[in-house]
Amino acid sequence: MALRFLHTADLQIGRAFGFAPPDLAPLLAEARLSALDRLAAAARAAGAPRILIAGDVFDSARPSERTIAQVQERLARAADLTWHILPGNHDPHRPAGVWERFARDGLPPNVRLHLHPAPVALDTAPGEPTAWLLPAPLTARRGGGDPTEWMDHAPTPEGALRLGLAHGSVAGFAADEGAAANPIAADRARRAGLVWLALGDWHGRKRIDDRTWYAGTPEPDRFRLDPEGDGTLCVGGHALAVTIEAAGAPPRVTPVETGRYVWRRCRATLADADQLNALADRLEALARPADTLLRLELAGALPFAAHELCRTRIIRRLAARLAWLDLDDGGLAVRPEDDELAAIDLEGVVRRAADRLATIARTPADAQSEIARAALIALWRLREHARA
Amino acid sequence: MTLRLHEVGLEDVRRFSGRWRVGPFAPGLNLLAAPNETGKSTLLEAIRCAILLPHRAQSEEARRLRPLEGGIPTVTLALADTSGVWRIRKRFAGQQGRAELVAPDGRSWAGDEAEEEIRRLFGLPQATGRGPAPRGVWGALWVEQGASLVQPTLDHVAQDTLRAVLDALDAEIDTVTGARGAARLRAAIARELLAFQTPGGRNSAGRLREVEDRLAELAEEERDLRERLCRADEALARLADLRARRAARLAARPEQAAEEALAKARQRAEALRQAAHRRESLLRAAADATRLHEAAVEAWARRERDIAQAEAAARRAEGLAAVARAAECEAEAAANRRLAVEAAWAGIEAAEAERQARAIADVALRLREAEEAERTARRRGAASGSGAIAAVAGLAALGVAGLAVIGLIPPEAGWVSAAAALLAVATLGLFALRRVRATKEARREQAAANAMALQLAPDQAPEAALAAATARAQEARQIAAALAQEAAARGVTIPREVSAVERDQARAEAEEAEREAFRTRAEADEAEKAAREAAKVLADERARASDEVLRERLRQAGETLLHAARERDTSPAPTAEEIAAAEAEIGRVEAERKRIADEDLRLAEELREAETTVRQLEAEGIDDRLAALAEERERLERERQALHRERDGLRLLDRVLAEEEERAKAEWVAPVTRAVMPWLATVLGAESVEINQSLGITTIRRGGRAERVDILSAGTQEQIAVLVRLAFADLLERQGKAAPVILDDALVFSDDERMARMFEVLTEAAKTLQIILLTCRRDLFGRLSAHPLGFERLA
Repeated sequence: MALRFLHTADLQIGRAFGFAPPDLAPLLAEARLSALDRLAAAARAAGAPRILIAGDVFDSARPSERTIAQVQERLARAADLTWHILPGNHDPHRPAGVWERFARDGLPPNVRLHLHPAPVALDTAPGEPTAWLLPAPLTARRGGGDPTEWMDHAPTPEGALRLGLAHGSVAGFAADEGAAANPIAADRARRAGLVWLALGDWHGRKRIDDRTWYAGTPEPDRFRLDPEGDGTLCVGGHALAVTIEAAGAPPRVTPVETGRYVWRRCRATLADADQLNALADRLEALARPADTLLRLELAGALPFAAHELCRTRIIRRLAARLAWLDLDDGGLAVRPEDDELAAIDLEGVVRRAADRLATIARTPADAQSEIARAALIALWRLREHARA
Repeated sequence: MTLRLHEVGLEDVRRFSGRWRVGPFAPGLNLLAAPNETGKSTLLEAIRCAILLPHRAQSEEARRLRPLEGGIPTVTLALADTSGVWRIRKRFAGQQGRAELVAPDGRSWAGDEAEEEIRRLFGLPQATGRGPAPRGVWGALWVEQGASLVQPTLDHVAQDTLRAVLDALDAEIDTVTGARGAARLRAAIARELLAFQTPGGRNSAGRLREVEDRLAELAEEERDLRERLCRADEALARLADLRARRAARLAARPEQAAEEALAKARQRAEALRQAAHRRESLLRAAADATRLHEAAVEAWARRERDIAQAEAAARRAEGLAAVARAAECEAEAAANRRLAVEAAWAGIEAAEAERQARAIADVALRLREAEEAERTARRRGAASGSGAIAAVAGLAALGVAGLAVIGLIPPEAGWVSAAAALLAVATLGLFALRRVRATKEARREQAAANAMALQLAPDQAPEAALAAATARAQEARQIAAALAQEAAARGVTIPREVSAVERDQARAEAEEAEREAFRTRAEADEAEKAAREAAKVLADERARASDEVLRERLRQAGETLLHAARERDTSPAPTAEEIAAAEAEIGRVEAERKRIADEDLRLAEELREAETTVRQLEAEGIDDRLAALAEERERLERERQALHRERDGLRLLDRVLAEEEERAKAEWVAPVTRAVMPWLATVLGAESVEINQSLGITTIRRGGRAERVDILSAGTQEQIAVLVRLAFADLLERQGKAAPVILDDALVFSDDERMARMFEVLTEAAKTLQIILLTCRRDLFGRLSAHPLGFERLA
């Protein structure tokens, strides 16, 4: 009988999504909490009796009492599973910190909190191979050296499978948030004789080698494009179901869907109405629109009419289809056509004003150019008033 | 040709009673110079009322026209243009007032129609019936006394009139049309801006305001949270510190050290107490040893004394025994001497007694003879004789006795008895060396025998007495013999002769020596007895405790005392300072223990507090909240930015429109500038001017410096005000709409030089304009080349 477990990380429960609209933010926050339920379901579906969380269950080192209680309740609810929890850089283990608070009134019986870097026997059932867990808890947001270094020489019983559980940045990867805070040697699994090194920190799913994986966050939480996605899909939304037959055999890794919301990010540069329409068509065709959060960053320049069309198709129609359209059209300029300017006024004060604004708008070096574009858009909108 | 004032008729208007005429006016410069109170201002008012005041008006303006001496005010104006003369006649009689207008072509209007036509003629709006009718441009051109000091305030009619003039003058008609569109656009922008700001634009409004308020709230909340975070961090640091301190304390176990120190201090104090007790017992032991030693010393001294006493008593007894022996020897010698004397005396006595016995025998023989006689007589009773004889015998015996033994023989003993006694004594004396009591007893028995013998004597018959005497003589001889025998036995030589004195002396000496011997013997006995008692006491004491025992005791007591003293001296009592120091140490250590306990308590308390604080501060999820705040702030900042962009776009649009409007208007007021500039240059030396949209000159530039008009001198301001009026009239004139400029008492503040330049300008302007100057300064204005006017009374 093989050793099975679900590998996840970076739930970051407690995140309040202040950047999202006030009506959506609580839903996103709840989706992070309910990720625990989806993980439990995924584990059961994969026949895994345990779930390894490689750090960052909580979003911060000081979650609210309610958040802690909610997590405890959700964990305890999955009484048929064992949760192995590791403090990460968001929720490091510190005196009087989150984990002391978490364990203050006793842990749910199915929860194993790994607060010390020392091997512990895994909760293997009869028939399962003996396995020992080597956890590398973090005690600060930014630690010193490699938190997994000790694993190389950590003794475990002869023949026992060695599973690493760590949170940090594998050297040379996932260091896009500045210098690697908790660097982990890429070949740690090999050096420490681990059959699996369950990593957390990087929110996307990432294979470092056969035995070293980032599971990614089970619920996306940011508009960061997934390099392995379809071009608009953002990282997160999966867990890894892992099966290890024997020490020598390569682990079988099966990604499982756990995301509640689909996060997408799209950048487009528009020059005319056709492009705008094509973009709108493409975005309107996205699957699961009601669960989709889309950050749309528009650049380029459109004539007045196309710009107005953008308002209609994107801001009105597309936004209404999606759970949230986070539109950033600050980079989208208006490029008035001559006939459009003529439509405002042929000559006179208004026309002279429109010409002046168009000139400013066309001069990116001018500090007023962006405002001039807004002024032109307003002029276009209000152009009827200029007529007698 | 434009409308010009040709003639004014006044009938019963204020001071003008009856019919008066002013005019005809010249087309150019006219001057009505007249003293004060001649009616110049009334003339101006009458002209204005004829045009502007409805004929049925009953307003204050109408009432002011009423004449002083009664009548109905009637004003007639004759105005000329190229077509001829227009005649206006208004009779201000309240409801009965009348108005007439006659055109040059002969058409005429009356009443309201006339008013309507007059308004049309002068470009005035329909009367509203409420308030004073707008004067239109005429208010700017017809200037009452004192009103010329400031630039004209144009009412809307005047503005419309002038705009129409300017519009007509301006070639860029489209610009102006566009400006109207711009104005509408700006109104729409202003409405849209209301979504972003308050009407004044000073404060944000709408969603922007909400966003800004929310951002301010967030900033406030963030400050609060950061402060809480700071406190939480401090509390955490404090908690860590407290825990470290507690751990350090647990490891250091200061309370145990304190307990040990306390136990030590208590032991020390206890040792001191025991030392004190030991010292006390040592002191007591030393005192006891001293007492015991003293007792031993005393006992030994007593023993020595007893020995000395016993020895002294023995010695004394011995001495006294010697003395007694000497005295006894002496007494023996004396007794011997007395024996010798007594023996000698007894021989004498015996010889005497034999003599006496013979005498008695003789007497007795005579007595018996007498007695035989007497016996016969006594048979008749004669006892007395025998008594006498007995008495004589008795007396004699007594005398002998008394002489013989003085002091040793009882006085009642007869002499026989005394002699017997003496003998006995003498006899006894030989044997009385050791047993006085036996001697006395023998003497008492002899005395008793003597007494019995004595008692027998009185009753002795003479024969008996003779017998007695004979017996006594015999006895005496026996005694003497005995004595002699004794003396011989003793080897004492009996002297041949001895006197009674010698006998008595010997007796006395013997008695004395005997007494001495007796006394010394008694003393020696006494001393012997004492010596025996002392010896007995000593023996008894020694039986109880021998000298060796006593000496041993004394030695032991001495040793004990020495030891105790050494013990005492080597175990000094703890000093009060030492005890106090020990107590103080206990106190100090107890205080330390208490301090430690308090410290522990406080630490526990502080730990609990810190934990509570951390718990409370962390319970709310500060970090999550801060992150949420930051994100919300970011979102709102973006929204604010977008709103600002939109608002600023509207503002920019409005500003650009305004600027373009301004530019257009600047172009629009250019004719006014062009009209007034030459005159301003002439009078004030102005290089340029700024004219606002109300067609007022706001700034003039002279000598390269801009000057605000409103702060220039009153004279200069009046000159500018007059020139502006002339410019308006000029513009109107060019549009064929001009009307006369009437200035009542203007330029009163002008200096001579300026006045001259003004005259120059007025003269120049009057080439195209009709200008009517009303003044009381005939001389000053006399230099002006103008058509003179005056009030002419008509018949």
